[in-house]
Order: sequence, then C-alpha cells, then structure tokens
Amino acid sequence: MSISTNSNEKGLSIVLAERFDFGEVDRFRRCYESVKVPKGKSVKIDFKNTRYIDSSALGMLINAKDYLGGSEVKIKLVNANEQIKKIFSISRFDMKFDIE
Amino acid sequence: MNSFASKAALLCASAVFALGLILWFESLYLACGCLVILVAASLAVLKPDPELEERRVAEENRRLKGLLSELDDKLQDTSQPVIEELDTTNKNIQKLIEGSSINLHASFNMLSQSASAEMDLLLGIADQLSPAANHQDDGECISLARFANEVGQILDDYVKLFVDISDKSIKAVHNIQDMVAHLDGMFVLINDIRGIADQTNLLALNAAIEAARAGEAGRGFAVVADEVRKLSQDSNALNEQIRERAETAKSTVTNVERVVGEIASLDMNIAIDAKGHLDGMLNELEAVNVKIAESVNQGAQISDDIKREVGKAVEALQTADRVAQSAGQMRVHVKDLSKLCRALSTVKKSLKPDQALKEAIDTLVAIERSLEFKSFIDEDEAAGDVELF
Repeated sequence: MSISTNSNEKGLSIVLAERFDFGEVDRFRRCYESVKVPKGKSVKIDFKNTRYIDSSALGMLINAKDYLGGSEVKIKLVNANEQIKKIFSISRFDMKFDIE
Repeated sequence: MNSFASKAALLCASAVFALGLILWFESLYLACGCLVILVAASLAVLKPDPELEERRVAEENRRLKGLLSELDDKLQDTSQPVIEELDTTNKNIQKLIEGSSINLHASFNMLSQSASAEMDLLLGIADQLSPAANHQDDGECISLARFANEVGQILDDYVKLFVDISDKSIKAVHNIQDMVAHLDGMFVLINDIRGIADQTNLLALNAAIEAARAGEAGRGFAVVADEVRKLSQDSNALNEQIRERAETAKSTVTNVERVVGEIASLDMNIAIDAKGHLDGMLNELEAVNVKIAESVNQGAQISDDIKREVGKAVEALQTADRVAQSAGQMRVHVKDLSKLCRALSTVKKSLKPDQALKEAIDTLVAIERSLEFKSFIDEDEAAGDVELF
C-alpha cells in the first residue's frame, strides 16, 4: 500500500506507506507540494499503516514543516505505533509537532 | 549457795533427830529442850567465817580476770590478722577499681571518638551520594546523577545531530531533484537545437540543388550552401557532445542523490536501543545509589547509637567511684573494729574491770551509732543513683 492523499475542507490528510524512508522522499514531497493548503488549516500525517521509519523520515517531516510552516499550517502526526513514538520522543519531535 | 544447802540439810537432820527424841523420851518438853540445845549448837558450828568468804571472792575475781584476759588475747590474736587482711584487701580493691576504671574511661573515650569519626565519615559519604550534593557544582564532586545527566545530554546532542544531518540531506536531495528536472529541461532544449540544425542541413541541401540547376552562375552559391551544410553538421556534433556531457552530469547528480540518501537514512532503532540501555543502566545505578545511601545512613545511625551507649556506660562507670568510696568506708569500719579490740584489751590492764567493761560498752555503742549514720548515708546515695540506670 503506497502513500495516498485526501484533501477536504478540514485540510490535507496524508496516509503513509508501510515503510516511510528515503525511498518515499519524492512521493512524500509531491504530496504536500502539489496541493495548496489554505492558511489556518491543518495537515494530518497518518502513520496507521507505517511500521518502519528511519532518520530520513525525520528529515522529510522537518522539510515538510519548513515548507508548510511558511503558510501557517499546523502539522499533526497521528496513529504512530509505540516504536515510532519512541523515535519521536528521543528526537524531541514532541516539541516540534502535535503528536496524537 | 553451798551454805544455804548445808543449812537446809542441817535443819532437816535436826527435825529428824527431834522426832527421834520425841519417840525416845515420850515427852514433848524434853524433846523440845534437846532440840533447842541441838539447834543452838549447830548454828554455832555453821556460823560463816568472813575471812574465808573474802578469800573466796578474790579467788573468783582472779579466775574471771584470767578468763577475760585469755578471751581478750584470743580475740586480739584472731582479729588482728583478719583486720590487717581486710585492710590490705580493701586497699587492693580500691587500687584495682581505680586502675580499671581509668582504663575503662580511656577505652570508652576512644570508642566514643571512633564512633564519632565513623559517623562523620558515613555522613560525608551519604552527603556525596545524595542528589542535593549536585547543587554545590564545584566541578570536583562527581555524582552519579551528574554523570547520568551528562551522558543523557550527549545522547540527546547525538540524536539532534542525526536529525539535523537528515534534514540537511533531504534538503540536498530536494535540490538535486530540482537540478535533475532542470537537466531534463535542458535535454528538451538540446533536442530543439538538433531539430534546427537538421532543418538547416536540409535547407543547405536544397540550396546546393538549386545552385547546381543554375549552372555556372550558381557555382559560388553552391560553395556557400556546402559551407552552411558543414556548419549544421558541426552544430549537430557539438549538440551531441553537450548532450553526452549533460547525461554524464545527470548520472553524477543521481549518484550524489543516492549517496546523500544513504547519509540521510540511518536506522533509528540503534539510537532507541542505546537510549533504552542507557536509561535502564542509569535507573539501576540510581537504585544502587539509593540503597548505598540508605545503608550508609543506617550505619551513621548505628554509630550514633554506639556513642549513646558508650555515654551510658561512662555514666555507669561512676558507680566504680562509689565502690571505691564503699571500700574506703569499709576501711573506716575496720579501724572501728580494731578500736573496739583495743578498748577490750584495756579491760585486762585495768584494776577495775567493771568500769573498763562499761567504757568498752560505751565505745561499742558510739561505734554502732557512727555505723548506723554511715549506712543511712549509703542508702541515701544509693537511692539517688538509681536514676542513672
């Protein structure tokens, strides 16, 4: 199951693939650069299918934030499993993103 | 006593003799007369001799005095060594008690000092181990908590570096992808140039054909057309070279992208495991630390207890002084006893044993009184000392 996007009135929702690593750089970038997200809306990044991430995922998320942060868009990371939450905690992502 | 018995015996004999006379003479008056004569005669015979009596008393006195003197000698002989022995024993007791009490005092003092030193040492260790010690951050005292903090900080920095590298790498990758897109745009442009060159070549060919048809007049034009054709062919060759170079550039950039990707993609599980191990170890160390601190505190408390008990023992040692005092009192009693013996010995020398005996009794009473007084004080002291224990 590959990466997919869903845009509605609430904002943009990106459901990630099973692995969120360097192989996804191009696809993930296109997901948030192809859609214009209006100010004040949120981008939800869904980890419900994701079982593995590496450090490039963290870089991708920061790049996405840098790209979207300019237009005052909130980024939410949802449905992450325990292991991924641990990675977020160790890399202090809980300070930079809303993790649910 | 003897005289009384002899008189009674005499009276009885007289009575028996009178009865005999009554029966012999069968006349009461005659018998009475005979009895009177007999009694008078016997009384005259039994009249006491005052000289004899005096001698007897003196004899008795001498005998008693001799006995008294013998008793006194015996008393002196037996009591003197006992008194001397008692005195020496007393002295020994006093000396021994004083000596051992001094030694005990010294050793208890040492014990108390050692306990104090131990307590200070343990409290020092406890202070070092406690997290409060971190506040005095003078760089010299390295506590476990500080060490843990430092290691945690280093790991955090390390992870931050990780994330930073990844962030920058992804940015680089994005730029490389943009560059590749631009290179692809360049290939389109190169294709356009190639199309133009091909058309120029075709035009030059057409011009050469037209020049040949014009014959001699078109000869010069044919040369120009040939040159133009050559130029278009050169342009094409150049274009091909540019394309080749651009292809190489593209493949190089793609290689860079791959390398940067490898830099960006680090397995975060290593960091998680490291962090987990570190946290576990630190927790264990902290637990050990707490346990050590607890034990050390307990040790300090025990030292305190020892000190308190030693204090009690030193207090109890004060009874040793009281024992020495009692020994001293015993010596006084012994002296009293010897005084009594001396008083008794004067009885022997005195010409008036009655008076001497009375004096001896008085001395005894005086000694007894003093003894009662002292024992009363003793009881009082003992009652006062009970609180010590």
